Amino acid sequence: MLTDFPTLFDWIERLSFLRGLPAAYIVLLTGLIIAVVWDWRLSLMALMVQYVVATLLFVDVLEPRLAIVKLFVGLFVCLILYFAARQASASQSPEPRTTGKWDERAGRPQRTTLAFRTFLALAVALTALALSGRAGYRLPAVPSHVNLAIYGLVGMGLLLLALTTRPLTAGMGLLMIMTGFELFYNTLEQSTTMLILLAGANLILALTVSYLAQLSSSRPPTITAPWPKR
Amino acid sequence: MTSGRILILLGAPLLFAAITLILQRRWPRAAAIIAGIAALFLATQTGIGPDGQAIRFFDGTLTLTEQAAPSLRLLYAGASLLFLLSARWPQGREFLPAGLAALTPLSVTLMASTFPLGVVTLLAVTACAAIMIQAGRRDATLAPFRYLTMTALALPFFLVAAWMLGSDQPVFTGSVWRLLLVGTALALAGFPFHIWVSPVTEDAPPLVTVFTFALVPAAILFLLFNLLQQHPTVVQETPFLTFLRWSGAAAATAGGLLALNAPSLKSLWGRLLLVEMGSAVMLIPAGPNGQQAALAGLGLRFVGLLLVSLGLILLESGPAGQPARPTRRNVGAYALFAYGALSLVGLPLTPGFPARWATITTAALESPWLALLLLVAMASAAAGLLRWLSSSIRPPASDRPGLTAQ
Repeated sequence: MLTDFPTLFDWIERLSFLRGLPAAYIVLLTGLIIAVVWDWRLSLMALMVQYVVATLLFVDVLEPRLAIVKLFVGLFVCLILYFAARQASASQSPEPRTTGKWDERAGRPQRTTLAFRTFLALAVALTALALSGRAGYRLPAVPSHVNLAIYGLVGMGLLLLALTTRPLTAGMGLLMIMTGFELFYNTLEQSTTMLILLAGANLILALTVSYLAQLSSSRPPTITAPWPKR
Repeated sequence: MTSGRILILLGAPLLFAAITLILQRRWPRAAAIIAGIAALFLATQTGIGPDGQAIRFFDGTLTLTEQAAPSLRLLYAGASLLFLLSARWPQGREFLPAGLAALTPLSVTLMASTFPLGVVTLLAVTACAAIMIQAGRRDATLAPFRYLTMTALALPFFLVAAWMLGSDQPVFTGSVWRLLLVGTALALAGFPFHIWVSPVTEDAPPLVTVFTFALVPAAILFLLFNLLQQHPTVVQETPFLTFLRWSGAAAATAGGLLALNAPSLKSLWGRLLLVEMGSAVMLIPAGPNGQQAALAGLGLRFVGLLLVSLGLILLESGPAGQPARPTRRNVGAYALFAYGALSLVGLPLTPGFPARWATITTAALESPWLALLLLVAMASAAAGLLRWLSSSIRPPASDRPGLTAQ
């Protein structure tokens, strides 16, 4: 029967064993994966998991019916990025992944190895863990596990922005920073207007990032001489 | 009816954006002329009616106030001129639709009754500007992405500061000014967040640069002035102004010093623009008439940028797409570029001088070192420009008799 089909609220209830500190750790872990693994499929999958688990954190600071909006926005963001990444990867010229000298201004992968990124991401994760536990670094009115998630998301986001100029990867960093900020801001300000405006801001960011991602990864158009060849 | 005008100001840009998007593929010139006329028409709709009505927008209202009207007029008139110029010199397929679409959130920002509403809408403006900067090119995305990143990062600082100010708790006073300072520096390219200016001038089509640096900041400045007027304690009881001026002076100095070693004409432009932007940041809180002064400064910046961009367009319209060496044919373009650039530096007898003089006098009241720093920035920027011009006029090494003989 349709009435027996679980609603989104039921799903949140079923995932309640993840609420609290486990959710914060998963958010941190997904952030770490996005920062380290630059394969768009894995990154996008991690981002989607992050949005789902972040919804559990939003439930701790917002009314559940408002927190659901965050889930929908997150899924829409992932959908937008998915189409952009797929289109971009289809038109991408074959090139090595993370080795060799690459042009930063062309928005291509730079010379950062997996080991280097892992080291930096672990350093950021450890810093987030250390800082969020200290009383002096506790954000006002924020539960302690949400505090950890905020530090993790913002830290990993900033790391991604520092590591790459590829719009898709760096864009995920920007979106992670936004999620971290919203976790904090929604604790303070719970008006529906701001919820809608921030949802709009996320979607605008995702659309712009996907537009830039498609252009940066596309193969240059074939140039044909406008004059007859001799 | 003012409310009717507000609806026109919000709806018409989007409508014409759609029209130009359809038209420009086949008739790009007609699309540019339509966009220009539409923006000019909207500039005439910024007058305030006798009833002074407003419309509800989410929790707040959008009101066409006496304060907002001049900024809106500058915005629409400036955009109109840029659109019309793009009929002669196309600036990419995205320029007209994205430029017109950006006018709607810009208007919302200027008419918003609450600071958070205006700030969030600003992100939509930045998104449109990023699309214009990229101009459909399939290569570097550094410039638009950096620009987008900086504005997006400014958003949290502004929103949290606005919440703290709204809560009216004295305990937050110490945090608010710091948050506002970082947010302002991010959004207006204050030091050390000025790194997006030069990439944008290098990568964006010239008229898009004018749009991005002369029209978009009008909305940011307007929002800031309104906030500071509503909460004077930020100005009176914290060192916000002092730090903001130093941040602006540092950005201007960085621009001036970097101009001495600019690798290309467009990067030189970016560095000179940094001097202008830094000094504009220094002028932000200049007394009760600060808003008018800042708006006038933006108008003068618009003139300077327009001159430089026209000079660049003419110089780059050659077959190679690169600025040619000065000849009799392109000396006018060089003159336009040089005069516009000197205006950005703010030298006497140029349009940029009144704004720069106002900044110097304001800065001198705060600290003579600030004024000195700005003068150093202006001098080194002017030296960088002269150095570049003299190297352009000098014949290439291969043409010199001594070297060709070898």
